[in-house]
This record gives sequence, structure tokens and C-alpha cells, in this order.
Amino acid sequence: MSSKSPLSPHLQVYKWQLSSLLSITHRMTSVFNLAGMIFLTLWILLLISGQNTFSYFEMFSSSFIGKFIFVGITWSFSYHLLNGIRHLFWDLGYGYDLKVANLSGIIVLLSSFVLTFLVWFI
Amino acid sequence: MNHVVSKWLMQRVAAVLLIPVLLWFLFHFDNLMNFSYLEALQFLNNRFNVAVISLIFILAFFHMRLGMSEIFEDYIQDEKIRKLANLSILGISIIIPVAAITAMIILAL
Repeated sequence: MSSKSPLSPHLQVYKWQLSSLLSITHRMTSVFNLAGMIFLTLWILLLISGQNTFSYFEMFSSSFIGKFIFVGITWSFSYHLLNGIRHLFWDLGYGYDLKVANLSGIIVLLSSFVLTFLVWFI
Repeated sequence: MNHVVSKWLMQRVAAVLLIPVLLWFLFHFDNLMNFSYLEALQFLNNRFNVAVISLIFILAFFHMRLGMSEIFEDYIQDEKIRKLANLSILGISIIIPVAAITAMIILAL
């Protein structure tokens, strides 16, 4: 591959609309998901380091900020998973019609909040 | 198969495999993060739980590495920097799963 491959247009040139908003959210949630995996790794490593060290994690997870972050990570995983399914349908060649793409986007967005609610409050 | 196409396909295969295991994980996540020390140890003393979480670590970081390289392809023009970025992601996607899975195995012993 040449060292001067074409770049994708940068974000600020796009006119904001649902499709682009959902697309950038997909990439943003991938970063939050990585943060979630790092939290999970810390959880495991603190477990191995003993009860005293683990108590710091318990302090964090019972705090408001801790709960906010964990609910946020749940939403991030929910969104990325559901919108990922939407992407898989596109990969198979379905759902490109503008109306369908907008509708599936709205369904994904609403479902991501429903899934987060189900995980934390049921 | 073309190298780029096979990378694209493997990224999707990992995505499909992640759907069921991640759903399982999400419905345990709220308990997990609120477990006491002993409850957490008990949870990881179960071979099925450790196996599924290990699978998530392997699949998620494999999926992430390929996904990130697609993003680097889009936004990093300089080939040297892109290679460096890909190499860093490769390092992360090996170190974190190995650390997490090793720790879970040690805990279960």
C-alpha cells in the first residue's frame, strides 16, 4: 500500500443527521467498551491481590460516580452490540433503504436504553 | 482470499460470536460489580463462568484490534505512524487478555 493512501473526510465536514450521529456513536462506544474491559481486568487483578486491596474497588463501585460509570458502560456495550447487529445486516446487503436505515437506527437507540434498564433494574 | 477481505470477515465473525456471550455477561455485570470479595471469588470458582469471561476477553480484543486497524486506515495517512498504532493495539490486545485470564486461572487454583 502506498504511504499516501486517501483519507476519510474528517468529522467536521459532515452535516449532522441521524445516520452520521449513530455511526460516530458506534465508534465512540467501542472506546468506552475498551474502558469497560479494563475495569473488568482491574476487578480480577484486585481480587487476586487480596481482600484489603479489593475493598478499594468496593468503595468505588458503591459510590455514585462508580454506579454512574458502570451503568454508562452497560449502555455503551448495549448500544455497540445492537448497532453492531444493524451493521451485520448491512454487511449482508439488507436495510440500505433510507427509511429502513433511519427506522432501524431509532430502534437501536431506544433498545439500547431498554437493555441497560433491564440489566440494572430488573 | 484477499488479506484485507479476510481481516474484514474475521472481524465480523468475532462480532457474531460476541453477541451471545456478551448478552450473558451484561446480565451478570450489575451483580459482578457489586459483589463482595467472597461473592466475587465464588463467582470465579465456577469453570463455566471463567470460560465464558475468557472467551469474551479473547474475542473482544481480537475484534477490537481489527476494528481499530479499520479506523487507522481511515484516518492515519502516514504509513509509519499507522504501523506503530497497529503495533500498540496488538500489544494491548495480547497483554490485557493474557493478564486477565492468567489471574482468573490462579484464583481458581
